[in-house]
Amino acid sequence: MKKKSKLKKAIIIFGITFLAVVAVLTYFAGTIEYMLLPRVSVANIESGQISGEPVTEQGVCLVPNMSVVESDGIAYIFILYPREDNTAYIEEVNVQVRDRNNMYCEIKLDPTFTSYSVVYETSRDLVNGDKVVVEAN
Amino acid sequence: MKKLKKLKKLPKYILLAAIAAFFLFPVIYMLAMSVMTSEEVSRILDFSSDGFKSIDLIPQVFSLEQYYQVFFRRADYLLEFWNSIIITVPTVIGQTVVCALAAFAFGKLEFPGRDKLFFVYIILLILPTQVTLVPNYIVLNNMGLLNSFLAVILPGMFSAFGVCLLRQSVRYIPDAFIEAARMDGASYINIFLKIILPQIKGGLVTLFLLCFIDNYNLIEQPLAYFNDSEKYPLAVTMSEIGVNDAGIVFACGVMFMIPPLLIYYIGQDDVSSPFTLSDKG
Amino acid sequence: MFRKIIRFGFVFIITALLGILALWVPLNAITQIPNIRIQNRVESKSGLTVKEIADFLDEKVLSEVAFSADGEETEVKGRSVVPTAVNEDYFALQKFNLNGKNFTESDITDKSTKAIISETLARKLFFNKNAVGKTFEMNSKVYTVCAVFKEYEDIISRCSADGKDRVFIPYTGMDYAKLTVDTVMYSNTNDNIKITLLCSEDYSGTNLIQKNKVLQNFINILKAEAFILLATVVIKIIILITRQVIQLFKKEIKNRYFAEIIGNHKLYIFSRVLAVIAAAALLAVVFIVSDFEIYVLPYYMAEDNIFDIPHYISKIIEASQNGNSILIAGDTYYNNLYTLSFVISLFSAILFAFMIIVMYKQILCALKKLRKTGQK
Repeated sequence: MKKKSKLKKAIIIFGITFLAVVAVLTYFAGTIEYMLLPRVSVANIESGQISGEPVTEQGVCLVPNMSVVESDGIAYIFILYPREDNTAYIEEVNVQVRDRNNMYCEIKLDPTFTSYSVVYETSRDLVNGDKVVVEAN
Repeated sequence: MKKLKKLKKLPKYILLAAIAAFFLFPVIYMLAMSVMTSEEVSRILDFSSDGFKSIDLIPQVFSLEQYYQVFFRRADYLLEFWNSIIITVPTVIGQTVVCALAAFAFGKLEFPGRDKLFFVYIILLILPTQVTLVPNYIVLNNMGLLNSFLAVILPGMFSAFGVCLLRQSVRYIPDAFIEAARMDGASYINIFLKIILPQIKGGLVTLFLLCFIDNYNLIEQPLAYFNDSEKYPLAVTMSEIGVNDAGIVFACGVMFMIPPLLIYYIGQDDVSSPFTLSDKG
Repeated sequence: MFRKIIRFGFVFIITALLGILALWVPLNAITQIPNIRIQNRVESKSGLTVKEIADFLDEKVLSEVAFSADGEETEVKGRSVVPTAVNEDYFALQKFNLNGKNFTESDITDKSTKAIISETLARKLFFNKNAVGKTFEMNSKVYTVCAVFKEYEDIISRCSADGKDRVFIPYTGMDYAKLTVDTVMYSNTNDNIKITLLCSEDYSGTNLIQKNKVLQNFINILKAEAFILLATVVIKIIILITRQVIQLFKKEIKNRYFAEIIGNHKLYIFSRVLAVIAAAALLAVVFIVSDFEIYVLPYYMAEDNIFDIPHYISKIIEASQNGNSILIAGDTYYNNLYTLSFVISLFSAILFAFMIIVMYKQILCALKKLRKTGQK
C-alpha cells in the first residue's frame, strides 16, 4: 500500500512539473525564438556610380563590398524587409556586378529594391526567407 | 508442489506477454523513434522507393534533437497542446457534474415520464456523433458560438453515456438510506452531496477517465466548428503532421501521450465497475 | 542542519565541475591534436622555400608530408585574410573534416584557383557556411571555394588560435620560389627522419604524439582515482558480507556441527560466497582492462635514478626558459592548445583530487553521525 501511494505522489508531482515546464516554455517561446535568431548588420543602398558620375539608368547603386556573394557568375545580395518589434526578414535578390573598388561595389538591381537596406554581416547562417534581428551598428 | 504450480502458470504468462507486446509495440516504437535525429527519421519514413523496409528500434545516434525542436523552437505545437487542455478539462469537469446530478434524478427520484426519457437517452447512446454534427453546427451558428472554445465544450458537457453509467451506480444504493435521510429532514441537495456522491466515487472516477480520453482525442468537432487553425487541439495537428513535419512527429506524440497516461495512473486505484455491490453500513 | 546540507551541496557542485573540467579539457585537446610531428619555423631565421621542400619531397618520394606557408595579409571583400600555400596532404594529415573536396595533385600541377576556407570565414564572406562553389576575388584572381572545414568554437580553442582568417590555396598559386615555409607536418614513419634532418637548423620541432600521450596521462590519473574509489567501496562490501557469514557461524557453532550449519543455510551462504567472488572478479577485470600508464617525456627522464628530484626540477626550468625564448612564425595553434590544456588539466586534476578527499571525509562524518543517532 505504501508503495502505491508513493508512486501516486511521484506521478502527481511529475504531472504538475510537466505542466509547469510546458507553461513556462510556452510563455517564453517568443523570448527564446528571439534569442536564437541571427543578428545582422545592415547598410543603406545608395544610388550612384563608383566613377562619381550621375546615374543614368534606373537601378544602378552602390553597396558595401562585403554584402555581395558570387558563385559561378551569378551574384546576389540579401535585402532586409523590416517588420515591427525589431525583427525583419531577408530576401535573396539577384544582381549584376558592374564595377568595384576596395570599399564599394557598383551593381544593377531591380529598381523596386533600391529603397531597402542590405545585409553585410551576420552572426549565423542565412537562408532566403529567414527571420533576423537587426543590430544597431 | 509449488514448482509444478509455477510451471503451469508459465504458458499463460507467455501468452499474455506476447499479447501485451503486440499492443505495446506502437508505443515502444514511438519512444524509440523519438530519440533519433530528424534526418534518420525522414530517411526511415521515406516510402518513395520500393523495397523491403526494416524496422529499426535502436537509433544510430542517440539525440534529444526532436525534443529540443518541439519544446523550444516550435511554439505552435505547445500552444496547440494548451488548446487540447483548454478543451478537455472544462468538458470533463462539466460532464461529471451534469451527469452525476442527472443520474441521481433518473435513479432515485420519481417524476412522470422518467423511464421514457431514459429510454430516449439510451437511444442517443447508439447515435454516432457524425449524425449530430450538422444540426449542432446550425444551432451553434445561431447562438453565435462558432469559432470559440465553447463550441466544443458545451455540447461535450451533455453526454448520454455518463448518465447511463452513473445511473447504474446510483441504482445500487439501497433506498433505505435515502428514506432515513428524508426522515431526518435532509434536503435533496444534502442527500446528493452526503449520501450519493461518496458511494459512487468509483463510477465518477471511471467517467472522468473515459471522458478525458474521449475528449482529448476529438478531431471532428474542432475541425468543423473552428475557423482559425490556431484554435485546433493537438489531436488535429497530429493527424496531419506526418506530411509536413515528419522529423518531429514522434516527440510530439510523446508529449501528446503524457497527460492521459498521468491521469490514468492517478485514478487507477479508484476505478471500479458500477456493478459491484457497495455495502457501507 | 540546513547549513550542513548547503555546505555539502556547495562542495559537491565544485567537485563535479572540477571533475568535468579535468576530464573534458584533455579529451578536447586529444581529439583536436593529430598524431604527427611538426617543425615550426623560428621567426628570425629564413628557413626553406616552398620550391626547395617540394623538390625534396618529389626527389625522395615521401608521402604523408604536409607543409604550409603564410603569405602576405590581404583583403577580400573588405575583410583581411591571410592566403596560405599548402600541398594536398595538409588536410588529410590533420584529419580535418572537409565539407567538400580536398585539393588533388592535378589541382596543384595545374595551378587551379581553388580555395579551402573555414566556416567562420565562409559565414563572413558568403553569409552561410555552405559556401562550396561560391567565388571571391583575392589578389586580382578569382578563386572558387572547393571545401569548407569546421573550426572548434570552445573557449580553449579560441584562445589558442591567433585570430587570423586563413584562405588555403595550392602552393603553385603563389610565387613559391621565394615564399618561406612556416610549418612542416609529417607522421612518424622511418623515412621521415630525413625531414627532421632537413629542417633541423632554422626550425624548432615538436612531437605531438608525445604530447598526446602526456595529455592522456591526465585522463589516466582520473581513471586511477575512479578505480581507487570503486575498489574502496567494493572492499568495504566484501568485508561486510564476510562479517555477516562469520557471525552466523559463530552463533550456530555453539549448538550444531559445521556441516549441519551449511546444510541449513545453503542459499544464504552460497549467495554470499558468490557475491564475494563476483565482486573480487569484477575488480580484477576492471584493473586488467584499464590502463593506468603514466608517460614521461623522454626529455625529462633521468638517466640512472628515476627518483632524482633535482634533476627533474632543473630540466623543467630549462624547458620553460627555452620555450619562452623561441619566437615561432606561422600558425602555432597546436602548440598553444597543448600548453593551455596542459596547464588547465594540471591545476584542475590537483584541485579535483583535493576536493574528492574533502567530500569523502564529509560523507564519512555524516554517516558516522547517522549511525550514532540510529543506534540511540
